[in-house]
Amino acid sequence: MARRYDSRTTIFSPEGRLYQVEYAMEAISHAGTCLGILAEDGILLAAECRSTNKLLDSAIPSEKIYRLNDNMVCSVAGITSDANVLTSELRLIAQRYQFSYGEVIPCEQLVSHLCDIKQAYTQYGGKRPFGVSLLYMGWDNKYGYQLYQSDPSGNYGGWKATCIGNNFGAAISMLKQELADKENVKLTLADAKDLAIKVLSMTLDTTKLTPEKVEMATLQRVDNKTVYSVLEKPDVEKLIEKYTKVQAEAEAAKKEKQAKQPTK
Amino acid sequence: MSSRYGRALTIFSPDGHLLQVEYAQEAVRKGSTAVGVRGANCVVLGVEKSSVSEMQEDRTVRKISMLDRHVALAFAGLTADARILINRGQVECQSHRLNFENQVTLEYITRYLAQLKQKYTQCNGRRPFGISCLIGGIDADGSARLFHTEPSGIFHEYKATATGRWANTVREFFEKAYSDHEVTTKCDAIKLAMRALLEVTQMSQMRLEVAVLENGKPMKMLDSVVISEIVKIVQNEKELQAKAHKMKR
Repeated sequence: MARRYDSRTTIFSPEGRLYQVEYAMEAISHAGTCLGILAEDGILLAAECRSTNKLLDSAIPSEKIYRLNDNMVCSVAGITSDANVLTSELRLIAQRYQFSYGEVIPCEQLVSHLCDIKQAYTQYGGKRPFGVSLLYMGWDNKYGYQLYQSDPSGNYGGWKATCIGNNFGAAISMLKQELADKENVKLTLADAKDLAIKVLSMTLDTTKLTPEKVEMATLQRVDNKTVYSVLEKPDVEKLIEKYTKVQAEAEAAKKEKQAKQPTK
Repeated sequence: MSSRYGRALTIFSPDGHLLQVEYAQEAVRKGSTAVGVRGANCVVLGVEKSSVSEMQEDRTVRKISMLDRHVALAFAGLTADARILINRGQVECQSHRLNFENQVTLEYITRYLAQLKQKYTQCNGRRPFGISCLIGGIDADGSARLFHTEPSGIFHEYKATATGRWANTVREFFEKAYSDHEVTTKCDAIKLAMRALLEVTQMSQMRLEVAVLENGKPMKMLDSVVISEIVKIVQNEKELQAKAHKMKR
């Protein structure tokens, strides 16, 4: 039954659902994981890199995280070629705004403008929707650091921490748990980095996290300027080492506890 | 069989239905509940926000938006579609001001949006908007108006109405509870709208959004503290009523 209504985008199923859009989202939930965390003094995006061929030229610093304008950066999950179309559209929107109004586009406006385009592909034109979800991090002078997520339907939302792609459900509930534990403590960017590594290593299918598999970028305001930086591989390695160390210690402590228990 | 007629929008099924439009209405029926109440000199719109995660920024989840200083719109259905429609409405409001040096009347903007929705049910190669809107506001003469539009492009004026998941339950409630003397003041109208929402939402996980429009004042969103206070009052009244009912018996 479902098959009859899924062949064209622009069509409702009898239950009032848009299958093409739902299938696009399904596709994304198998794509490489991306997560974003909002901290007090900055914001970060982390992404899983799947194509880790040794022969790949590493001159291109990041394959899944794109700079959009002075104040915004995004990462993508889904069909990469679709993502390229959308990121170039985003850059264009941002520059057009800057040209017209002489100031940097507010974060939410950029996101919602792109979502308008995504929505159009679900309603007319006889085309399929974009198979891409995006995470955006940015800063503007009204709301400060911001993290947004948008999906193929053209919906978007602002988040404190979120995740898209493979295993996103598990990752989100983990982030929720971790942030709930630290509710009263201010989350710094350094904490956020550790948290990102922790969540990634728990949710990725691989047994061990390697720096090649992770891409991480941060955005901060320093002296009234937005500073965007992609973490170097050695830095990522350090973070992973730190995490494995903490993990090993926790494991050891647990074992010790267990060993003690029978004697009681 | 029916699927052959479901594909192209502009086609009638043999029994005279426009299936895509009906399916779009189904999408609305899945959406969160929105209610509207017209008071003597105000309009209250309320929605339940069912799907907000703890980690989500509340500010980015908007179910009620302002079309113009005197017009507010609440919707049920596909959020992305709604954003597009709201945008068109806002532009039309401003363009009307520019052309006629006058604010739009509520009927005008409703008719405009309904017409837009109708176009999407007839033009080739597009699907209808999967949303139903409650459009409320104050006309230039100071009278409060409340309209309801559907995906098909139909619109009606109401004293009080609802759309979305529990629309029928809420409408039945309004039929019983609404009378002109129930909504003479702003406070009463707000309370009636909240009572209607509370009929169908769980108290524990409640996230309501309520907007009030009054003559000469811009749209006002009630903040969560005020809302939870009114919820308490409504709950108390409900309990008292239940008690009184028991006593009578």
